[in-house]
Amino acid sequence: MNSRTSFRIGDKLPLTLEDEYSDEQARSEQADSYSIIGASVRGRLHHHNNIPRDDAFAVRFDGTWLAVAVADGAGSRPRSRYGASYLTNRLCSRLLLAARIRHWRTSNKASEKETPISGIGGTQLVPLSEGTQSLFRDTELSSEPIDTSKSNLQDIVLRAFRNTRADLERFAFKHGVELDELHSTLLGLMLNTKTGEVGVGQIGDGLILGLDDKKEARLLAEPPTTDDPGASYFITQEDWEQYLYTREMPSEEVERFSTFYLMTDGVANDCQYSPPPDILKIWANDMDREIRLVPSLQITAERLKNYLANYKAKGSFDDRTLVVIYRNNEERAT
Amino acid sequence: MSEQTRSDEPAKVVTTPETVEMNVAVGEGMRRLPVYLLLDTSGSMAGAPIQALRLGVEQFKKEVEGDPFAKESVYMGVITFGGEAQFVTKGLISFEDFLSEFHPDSISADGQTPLGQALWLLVESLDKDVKSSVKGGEKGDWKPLVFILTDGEPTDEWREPRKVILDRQTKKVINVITVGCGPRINQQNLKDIAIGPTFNMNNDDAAFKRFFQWVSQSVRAASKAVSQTGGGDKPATLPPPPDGIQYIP
Repeated sequence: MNSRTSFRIGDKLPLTLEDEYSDEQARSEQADSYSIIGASVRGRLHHHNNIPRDDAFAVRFDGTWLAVAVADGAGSRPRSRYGASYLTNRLCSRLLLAARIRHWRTSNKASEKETPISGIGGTQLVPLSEGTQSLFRDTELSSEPIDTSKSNLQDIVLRAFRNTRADLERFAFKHGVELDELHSTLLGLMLNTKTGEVGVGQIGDGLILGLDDKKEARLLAEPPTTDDPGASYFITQEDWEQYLYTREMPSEEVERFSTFYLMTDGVANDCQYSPPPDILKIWANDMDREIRLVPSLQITAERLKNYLANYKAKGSFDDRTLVVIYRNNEERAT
Repeated sequence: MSEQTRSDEPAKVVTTPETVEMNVAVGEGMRRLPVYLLLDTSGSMAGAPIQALRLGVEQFKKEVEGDPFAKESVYMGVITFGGEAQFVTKGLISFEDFLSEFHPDSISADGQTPLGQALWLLVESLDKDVKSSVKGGEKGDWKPLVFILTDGEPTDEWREPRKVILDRQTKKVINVITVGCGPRINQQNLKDIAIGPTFNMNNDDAAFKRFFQWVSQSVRAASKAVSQTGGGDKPATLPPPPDGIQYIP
């Protein structure tokens, strides 16, 4: 499988609140030894009520870092799909940009050079190649300064979420809508395809899972909630940071994982509710097997889309979005 | 290697016989929307009111049955209180089972008004039948929706169980609506026993019909709301009550 040195796939970054929005997506790519399959479909209830899909996903790769985001716009907000697609694209940009700055600062520190850079926090970025520049074309370079003295992944993820929210505020202001009109959850993962480091962040419903070498499914993010079973958590709400979860996983820990899953609530319904008591593990292993079954990534993406379009879990009506990132077996053996 | 960046143009997929359906297990459980009806079947309801109540419950069954989303997600619990309080459905049951197993004709009106007993049965079922979220695991059921229909003259000790339920209402883990029925209802008594938003209605045929239509609409709206992200809190926002059902501030 050929790996591109950079790519972007998934839902498009909206430029207006009238942009066309497709009912479904099915995309795939290769990033070094990792394959990425993503699909999203409109939910049963949305079909029934003749309303658009409110889920979105985005994946970007800059040759070293892979950034993946999924989001679920609030069903009660007619334009939340633009919040979801804006947030997923922006978060990916923010994560890649922050990782690039960290890399530059680390190498700069190592060589004890004091090259002035600006762009973020008043500094100039290292020059980007033409292809990689396109990944950041939609990223305004005014953001919260990153304290690179810590520069851990958790910190990068946290700040990327903060900057993404600030971006959305500007987007909402520009288009004359209140932020809560764009209510959306947001789940993100960044992975260094060379070293294996991972950072994750999540606010709101959905799951980020990892399947380890013992075939156990592990929740990689456990965002805080309240006792209220009906409460929803969105990056767009005022006290959003109380409900944000961020985490970093060092290479040694990531080495144990062969597959990662990012999904919105509509897919989480399939694997969260027992019986059987170990449904999460069964589901993750079944999906891992199926996702690797056919060599063609494009066909696998179509198969995933068809799977998502078939509702087998009871009481499941919502939009469904799933992105699977898996390490190829031949690479794992080396 | 030259750098290549792909656009968002969807690639044309050639389907082949290899495009077989994915075989992935799904959990058999789900997040349910518990709905409780606490119905006063005391002697004050005898005659035309109890007949109107039976017809109202039958109408409720039909209206919710016609909604594919509510039919799948709603779980029912019916408690009557007349003479003795009875958990007629023996706990929470699926709407399918409610349709086949619960017959409104079996409800009769007699005896005093043991509202306290009925509230204790509700508390017991909320503790036993409604699933709570597990930290780092399964999410619990949706917020239960409880309708209490009463003549407003309880004859047993109701203050303690009311306090227990009121505490949960305050913590936003249940949604309770109290409706007093009958022309002679004492509004102050009703306010004393009420939990959550409180209403008053007559006890004639038309009033019961409108009441159960409103219950159906509320349940259907709640089931739709919880079926999509950001709707979980919506059961608190009921459709406005129809004419003939007055809000008591």
